[in-house]
Amino acid sequence: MKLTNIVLISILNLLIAACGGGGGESDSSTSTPPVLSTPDPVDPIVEEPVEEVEVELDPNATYETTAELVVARAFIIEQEYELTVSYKNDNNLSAYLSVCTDFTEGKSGIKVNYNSCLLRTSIESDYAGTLKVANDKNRLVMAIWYLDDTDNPRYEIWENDSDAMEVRKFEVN
Amino acid sequence: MINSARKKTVKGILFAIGMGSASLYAQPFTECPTEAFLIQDKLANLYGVQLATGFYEKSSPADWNQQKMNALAFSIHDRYLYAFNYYYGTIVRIGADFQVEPISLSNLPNKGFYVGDISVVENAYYLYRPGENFGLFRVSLDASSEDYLQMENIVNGTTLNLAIYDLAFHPDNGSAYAVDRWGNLWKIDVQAGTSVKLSNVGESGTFGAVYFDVTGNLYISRNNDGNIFRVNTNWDYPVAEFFAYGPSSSNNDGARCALAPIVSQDSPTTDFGDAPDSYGSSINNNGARHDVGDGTLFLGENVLTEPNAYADDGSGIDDNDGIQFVTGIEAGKTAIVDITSSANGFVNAWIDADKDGEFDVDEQVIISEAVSAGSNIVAYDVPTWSETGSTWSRFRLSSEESLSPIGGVSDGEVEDYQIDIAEQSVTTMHYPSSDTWATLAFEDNWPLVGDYDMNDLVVHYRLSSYDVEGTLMRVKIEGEIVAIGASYHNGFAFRLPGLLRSEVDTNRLVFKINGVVQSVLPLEEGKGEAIFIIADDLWDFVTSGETCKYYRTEAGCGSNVQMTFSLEIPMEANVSKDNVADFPYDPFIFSSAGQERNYVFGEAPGRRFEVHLKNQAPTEAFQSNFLGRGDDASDADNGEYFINANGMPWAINIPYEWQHPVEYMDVKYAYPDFHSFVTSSGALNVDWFTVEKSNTNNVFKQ
Repeated sequence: MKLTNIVLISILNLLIAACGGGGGESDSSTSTPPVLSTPDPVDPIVEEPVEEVEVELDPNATYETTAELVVARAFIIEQEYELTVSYKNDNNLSAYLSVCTDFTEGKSGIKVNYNSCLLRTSIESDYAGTLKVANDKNRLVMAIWYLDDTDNPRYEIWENDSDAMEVRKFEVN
Repeated sequence: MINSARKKTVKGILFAIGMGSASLYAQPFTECPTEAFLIQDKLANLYGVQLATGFYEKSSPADWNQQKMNALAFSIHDRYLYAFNYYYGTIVRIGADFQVEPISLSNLPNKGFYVGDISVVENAYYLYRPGENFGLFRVSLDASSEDYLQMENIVNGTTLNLAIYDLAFHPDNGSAYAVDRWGNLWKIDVQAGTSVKLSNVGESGTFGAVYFDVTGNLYISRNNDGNIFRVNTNWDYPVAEFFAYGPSSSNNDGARCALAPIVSQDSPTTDFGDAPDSYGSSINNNGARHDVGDGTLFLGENVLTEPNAYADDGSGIDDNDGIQFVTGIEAGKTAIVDITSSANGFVNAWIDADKDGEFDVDEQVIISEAVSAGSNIVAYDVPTWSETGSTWSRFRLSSEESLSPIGGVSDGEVEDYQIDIAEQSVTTMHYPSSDTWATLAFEDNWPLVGDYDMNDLVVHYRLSSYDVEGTLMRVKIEGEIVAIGASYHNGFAFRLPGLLRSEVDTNRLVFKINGVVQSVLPLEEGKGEAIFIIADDLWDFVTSGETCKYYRTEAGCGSNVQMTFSLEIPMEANVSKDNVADFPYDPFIFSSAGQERNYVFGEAPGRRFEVHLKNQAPTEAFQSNFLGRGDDASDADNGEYFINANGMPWAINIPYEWQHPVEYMDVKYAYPDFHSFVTSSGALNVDWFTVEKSNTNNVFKQ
């Protein structure tokens, strides 16, 4: 897919130096607050004609500074992936299902840190839902505790395939 | 040495010079010990007792070979213990090295004494025994006095007739106090030989060991069950308050240095909980506390000692690690916890189901549950009448089978957890997870391009939503203000897109800043949408360091996080979860009232100024013709907001506890993979924000 974007650039604004965090030079804390209940439209001091320029989006480009960085306008810089989660509760057992990111696999089995969960739910039947998983989390565990059989919780582990193009699925039957 | 590891100096107390001991070999104690002493048994044993927890251990050597002793007393004048010794038939002096020296007295009656103590205000030992031929006696221990070691009968035991088994001297008023077998508290004027009854403390029995602390609390230990009660003699009508589970014994006498507090500040041996003090956590509120004992019984992987609740030992180690809530906690349903114990013991647990700030009797959910070393799965029933939302739970492990939610015990550990009680059959979603942070990083020079150090405002936050079969019940927002690297005055808010203001149950809404409930309703007035204002001006809540321009962005300008917040947002009935936007909702900053921004605004824009995440539409409070000014290249018709001509936003959201760049540091030089992540539209270097991928020299460090 060729990533091409047409963007508008105000030439004038490119000339404005970007420096410091906002408001580094002024402290106006002593000014009188305006009455906010009846805001008047504010006129900008600077009104310049806008010149339109096309910016090519180049995925292979490198940029010296972030100020030069060009991003696809539709890419919202999301840092998560979607994961559909489903569990088939064949006998409609009363159970509690958790999907978590922090767990260890040791001699005594899987130990889950239940403070690291994205999903926690009571179930009496099947479950299906969609989670937003942080991009750095590539292994998840599903823990299912049966309220009538607390000695035998079930654990299932899912691993992300970062090359997969389709929607990721964590299905437990 | 008595218990040398536990013995600590109490600062600021000066001791009188002890009486000459050239002819005696026993060595005095070097300091005023916080522990109490207890002498027991036919073949005497001397114990050290932590009154705060009832923890005790034998101090005297195995080959001590001393016969029964009683009327134990600690002299603050020479720092020796004294007792009546039945083998020698007279009083003895006991040193820190456990040497026992008999002392000959003149005028000694022919019976032993089991009641006695040494005054704090004069160097004299008072002994008492009821009966016509006995009574209250005084022995001067002052070698310079004319009546040194002479026994003087103050009053006979018919005139002063008390059914008491020990007495203790008050730290400063010169009187002795005792509790008789019916629970009557007596104040004894030892010079006049008279007594007055102050109260009935409400507990009866043989109180064979009684002690004072420096603030005037009298601790009374009951022989048959070992229970220790605290009686505050400063009260108008002192009553006994259960304090700790101590050792029981048939013959028993106690003594301590009345000038010491009961928990050592320098070398604590006690574990406290950390729930708010309304639950009973600190020593003043008789909080739940455990002596670490011999260090073998605790929850999870470790237990830490502290001089009081909320004390921080600075180690950064969290010893609240023994309880895993493997299921949620839903009103009226069974819940399961995984309790990790180091050894055999018993667990008692409470949840504050009615959220009244106390653990009530009917809120005990786990009662005397036997646990063994390792993982213990315990199911319990959550009260049907539980209120939903955030509350506290307390888990106590001990070899003692039955415990109350407060008071001391001699071993084990207490762990308090903040929990969330949910509606039945609730589905909880967390972002990024239930105990990790996501990060919002703003450049606040909008609509002008900033320097991309991404630290003008940095917020850590997490979100939770609770729904029952698609009906949204509650939303929880928690966070902390991590950095402000700019001097603009910004407010901070969350909009829940799709949720109407009228759909929020404002009566049950709980808004806290730094753990304190705020009386102001955070739901913005006069708007159709549900907008929650966390702060109108974040600079009202944080300050930069002494020589620093900003808050936690410059090298050497670390401080603790100064502002935390939490919002529990309950919904009115029938709000469909599908109508409300997904995580992370819509966090945004706005300009504080009356505060100037950059030159593109002719006057302070106030609430009409907002900066949102990329392509997130502003709220109804925003002045729409601000879009397109300066470097802003928003295209509202295409749903493109708060981006510049290069497609770059003024705010990013990271599902990670992100370490922000130091002041003026381009994010590229703190996170070298950031550029390829964005130029590839998220295909490459998806974990660019992790600490492993950072250039550690260029991120802010505390």
